[in-house]
Amino acid sequence: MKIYFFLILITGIGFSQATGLSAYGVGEKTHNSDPASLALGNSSFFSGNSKHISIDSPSSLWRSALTRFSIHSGFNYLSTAKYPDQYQQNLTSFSILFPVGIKKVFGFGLQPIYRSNKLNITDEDFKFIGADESITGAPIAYKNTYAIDGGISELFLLYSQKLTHNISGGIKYSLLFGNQSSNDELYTYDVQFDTLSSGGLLINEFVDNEDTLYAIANYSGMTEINKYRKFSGSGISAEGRYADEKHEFVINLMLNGKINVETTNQLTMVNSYTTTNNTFENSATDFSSNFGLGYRYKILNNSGITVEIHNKSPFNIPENAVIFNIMPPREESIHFGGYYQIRNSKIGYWNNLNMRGGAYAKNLEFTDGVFKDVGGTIGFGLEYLGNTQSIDIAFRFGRKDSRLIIGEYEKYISFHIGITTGEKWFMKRRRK
Amino acid sequence: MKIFTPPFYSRKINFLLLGGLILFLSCQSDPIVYNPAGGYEYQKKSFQLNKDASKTVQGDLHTGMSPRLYSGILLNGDRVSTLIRLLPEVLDSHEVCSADSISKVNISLFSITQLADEDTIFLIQKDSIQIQLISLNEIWDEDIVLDPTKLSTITNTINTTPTISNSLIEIKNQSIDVQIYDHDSDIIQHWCETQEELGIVVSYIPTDTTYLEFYSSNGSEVGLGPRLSLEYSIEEETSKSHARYLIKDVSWGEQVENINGPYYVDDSLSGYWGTFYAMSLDWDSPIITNPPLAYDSVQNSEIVSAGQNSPLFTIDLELNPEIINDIDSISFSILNAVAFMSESDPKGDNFDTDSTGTENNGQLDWTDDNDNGQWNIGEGEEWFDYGEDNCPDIWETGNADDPCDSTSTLSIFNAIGTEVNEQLDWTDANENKLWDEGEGEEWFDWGSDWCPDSLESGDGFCIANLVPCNCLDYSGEDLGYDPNSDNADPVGDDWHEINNPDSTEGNYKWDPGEPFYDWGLDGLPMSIVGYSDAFEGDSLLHWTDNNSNGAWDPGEGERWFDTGTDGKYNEDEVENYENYTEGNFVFNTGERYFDCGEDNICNDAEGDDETDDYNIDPNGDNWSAINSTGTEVNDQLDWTDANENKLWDEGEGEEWFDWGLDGIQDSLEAFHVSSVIPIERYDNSYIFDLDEEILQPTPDLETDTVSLWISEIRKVDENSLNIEVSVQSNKALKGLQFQLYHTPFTKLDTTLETYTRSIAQIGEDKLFEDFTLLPKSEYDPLMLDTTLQINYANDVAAFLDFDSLNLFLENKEYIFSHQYSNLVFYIDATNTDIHEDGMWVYLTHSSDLGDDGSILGYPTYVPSSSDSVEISMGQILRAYQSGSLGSYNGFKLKANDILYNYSKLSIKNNPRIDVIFSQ
Repeated sequence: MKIYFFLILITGIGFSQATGLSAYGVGEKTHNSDPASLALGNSSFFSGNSKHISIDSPSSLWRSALTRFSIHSGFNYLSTAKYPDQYQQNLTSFSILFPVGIKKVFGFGLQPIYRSNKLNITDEDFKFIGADESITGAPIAYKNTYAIDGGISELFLLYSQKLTHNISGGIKYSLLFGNQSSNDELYTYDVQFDTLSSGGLLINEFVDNEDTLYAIANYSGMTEINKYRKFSGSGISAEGRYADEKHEFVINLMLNGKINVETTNQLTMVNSYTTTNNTFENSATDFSSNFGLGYRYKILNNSGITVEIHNKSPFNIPENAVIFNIMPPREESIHFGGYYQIRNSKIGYWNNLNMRGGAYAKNLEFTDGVFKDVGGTIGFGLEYLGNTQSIDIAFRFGRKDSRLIIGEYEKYISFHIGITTGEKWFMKRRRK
Repeated sequence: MKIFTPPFYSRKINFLLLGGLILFLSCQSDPIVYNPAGGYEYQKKSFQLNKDASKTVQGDLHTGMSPRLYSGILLNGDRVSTLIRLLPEVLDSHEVCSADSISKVNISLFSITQLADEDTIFLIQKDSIQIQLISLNEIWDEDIVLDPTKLSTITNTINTTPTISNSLIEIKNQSIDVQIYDHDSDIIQHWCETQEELGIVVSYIPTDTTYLEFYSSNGSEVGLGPRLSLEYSIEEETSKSHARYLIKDVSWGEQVENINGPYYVDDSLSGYWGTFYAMSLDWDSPIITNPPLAYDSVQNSEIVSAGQNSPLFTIDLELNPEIINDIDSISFSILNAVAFMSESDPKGDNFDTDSTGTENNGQLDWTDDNDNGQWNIGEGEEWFDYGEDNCPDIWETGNADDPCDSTSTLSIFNAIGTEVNEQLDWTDANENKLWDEGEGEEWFDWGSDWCPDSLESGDGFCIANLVPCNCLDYSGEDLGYDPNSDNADPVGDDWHEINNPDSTEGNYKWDPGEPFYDWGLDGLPMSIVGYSDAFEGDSLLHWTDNNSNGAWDPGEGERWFDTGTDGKYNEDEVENYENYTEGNFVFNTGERYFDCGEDNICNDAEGDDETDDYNIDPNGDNWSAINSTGTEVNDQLDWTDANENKLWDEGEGEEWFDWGLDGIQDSLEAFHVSSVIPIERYDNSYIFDLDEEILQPTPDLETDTVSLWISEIRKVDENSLNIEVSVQSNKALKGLQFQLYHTPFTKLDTTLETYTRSIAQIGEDKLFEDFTLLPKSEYDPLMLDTTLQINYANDVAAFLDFDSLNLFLENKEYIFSHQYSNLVFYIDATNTDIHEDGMWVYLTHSSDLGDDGSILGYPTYVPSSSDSVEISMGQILRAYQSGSLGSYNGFKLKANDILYNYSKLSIKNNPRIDVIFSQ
């Protein structure tokens, strides 16, 4: 088993953490990482495995008395009409759960929650300051390049307990931390119009008054801006679950505290070799909360369907800390899933083969509009060695409105893999 | 190997896993080239002056610490003098205070401007300088603020103190030297012993408004300030070397008869002193005055025959009377001894003795190794490519009867002459781009047809050329404007105030028909920004001539072009504009000029300077592509052996020397380094005891070489010696030479050593304090409150505060453009008086307490002709924003002391800070 952990860790660490085009807020929310849940229409509360444990759902974790190690990773391919090949490596997450009593489980883990990853953008066109706004009395052109990397991760503590025959609950406390850096370069140019195209960068060629004129940009300076943001904060979620023979209901409420951001702006004037640093700290003004409801209907012992709805308020970070001045969106989503378990009736190496599928629809409500994200999921999982070990794989495919390139779609396909291993280290055994 | 156990059994699975990993790693995202919404967008913000808070402030400093000193009448009419005070307590540590004698004490002041040309032509009014040595009743530090009361005391002293004689004041190229010692021979005692406080006052009272400007002791280099030049003597014990003897004479030994010489070097300061030449020269005096000997005057006499062993010559020495009583012996030796064989062809290259020899073979043996057509050292026999007249150009006279003058007296060679040098020699002294009287050779800006419009024929010719006199004042039919189509203004629409006042090109105003960019006030066409702004495309010119110069300048709205109503500049009005050169204020190839030299008087005309003719070949024999019959510099020997003696003789063309490939004639071959014979000198140490007079034993001589030794030293009397030098040779010699060396006597003497020193500081302490004597002007409080002024001399600065700038700087996210964020202010010309060299201004920080803090940014130069000033603010604003400067409480704008200290800058009451920023 160590080899698989090793491989997944290597892929997680070795990859450049390139996201798609999630250039807003502090990046894209990547809260779900369990492939078993993802395959159920990007679910959070259900997993479709034999124990119905979802790593992202605290109220389900008491169901195993084993000490469980889980590690997840994923790979994303994204395409737009303009930029057809964008690859994204989801960060590896891991968690450790162990029993602390009968039907009581405690755990901790680490996982990313917001990622912009490495995003390199170069302005396609010059931007201008008109002569009437320029302090030189002549037009100024400028062009920028952006390089953004990093995001927020969480270190979480979990507690899950069965409260009654039908009711269980769980809480999760998260310490939010992380860094995001941007290395931007601002190039400025003096604009000159001439009938000859010589020297400088050609901005445009156009005909004016029957003369062919060339707009030339003559380099005048470059400012390098390195921004380093250090995030810190916390969040807590509580989850309740009711389950009977046929039905299972889940309710989840999450509250994020105020996020604190320490920003260091380092400005370097390349022409004059001067560098200045500004360091300042600020916090979000509001709390943010997430609310989720889930329902599972068990059709047969080995099959069922799920539905979830989530309403997540915008992530509460200070305005100065967001990418491209775009505040994180409110997210409303609905998720449908179904699963079918093929159980091995014989005593053998494997025990269950879990088939999963689903669909979801999500609205990302930014201050300037709603962006839709719809997709489907499919996956399978294999449980073996007495259902103590499992490997889960999920594919997710969908289409969402691009927030970066307004009016375009981003088509994506993602592949997720997770490995869980259970050991009987802390299990209380009856003495013979 | 446990890791390769189940669940995946096969190594193939592991291979696929690793392969997948590599596949993932190889994925590359396409670069994103896109203008993201929310990226950096520059904005402009202007901060206007807070007029209530801004004002002029006057500090407590004066000019004492300035690096400049003034004397004379300042630009504003103020009379000033320079006071220099030598600090006795600093000089006290200098050795001049304990000198045994003093011969010079000068004080030198170094001027910033030139005072004299070549130290003789004075650029100032020399007689207007008065210098006084005064006694100072009151001692000031250099940070003193001089007021009229303080100055009245010193003025009284100045008025009652006699001036130093003008003869003791020396004005040099860029300095003034005052001979203080000749004015007061006790000056050093005054300073060193009685520690008197004395000052030098330099007054300059010219008849015009001029002043002297000196470097003070407060400059970055103290050495540029006043200096004390000293010449003094101190008795010191020193070791000195003394020659033990003087050479009185030298004479041949008895074996040498009827031969001139021998010779020797008598100059005891020369490194050749004591060098003796045993050879025959055609000189009467035995003394060689200009060693080393060139040997070309050595006569071909045999001085020593083969097998000879005999005294060669006797040297008469006189013992040095200064040390005769201190020495008891002399240690001699023979150095640098060489002999020269007496043979007719020492190098064996003569043709008559060896048919392969090249010397005297009657032909030129020259190999042009570097293919330059000329003889160079190492290329065999030398020859001179001077032409058949065998005369280099610089000696040529141009006179067939006497074509060559080696003294150049009669030569008419002139490589720097300007007449007939086939080039225009014109200096546009008044920079009007046209020839004027006194500017050298006259030229005519008439184009390549050499014809003004009035004489142009219309078919390319000049009418003046068609008449017999070829005169230019021919009055022909008026064919109109530019008949030959060569004018720089092809259509004649260039505006001229007098000649063409109704034309429109270059008339400094926009006329209908003249093109303009109808792009609105942003100066950007819709085609590149994607939108049109106000006034864009309305077919009306929106231009405001802010500076009233009649031309479009940046910031004045829509750009227009003063092309005239035809919409074309001259160069666009015709095809092939390069041919239109008449009246373009440029001398173009093909245009006419008088090649009469800088005097513009041609040969044979009255008043012509006959020496200005350019002539680099007076005899006209230089070879060239035009003169292919020329023989000078034709890269070949032009020699005709008229008398068929196979040697060059006078009148046979170019001279050459038949000296063989070594290039050395027989008579000098013996002296060549490869031919000289080293001399055996044996023990070569001859110690002669002056008391015992011991004779030196003769060395055991070798017979197969040339030997030289001192065969006898004899004391003639108490004051003189004879030294006999003998020679034995196995070859006949035409001469030999050696240097007689001896160990000099070292004696400890007490001597008066003279020192010359020029000092401005001793150690870290500067020697002078200096002041410009002018009281500080105290400004009226009302004026301080109502104006913005800057003046270094009176420590006046402008305090500038800008509305809401402090709030703006609190936003840490703003990113200020360095090159596009400026403090802008306009100069109130009425109350401004900036020296023609300009002035430097700089900003300082005002702390919370209001006192001045650090200097912000770099000083900005303000030329005297400025009407506005821009100071870069990006870096300063960022420093405030980051908090590294503290909080913003306004700036102080000050003048520094680098240039003229009394420049005055007054600012109009509308400074602003323009900031281009993003976030």
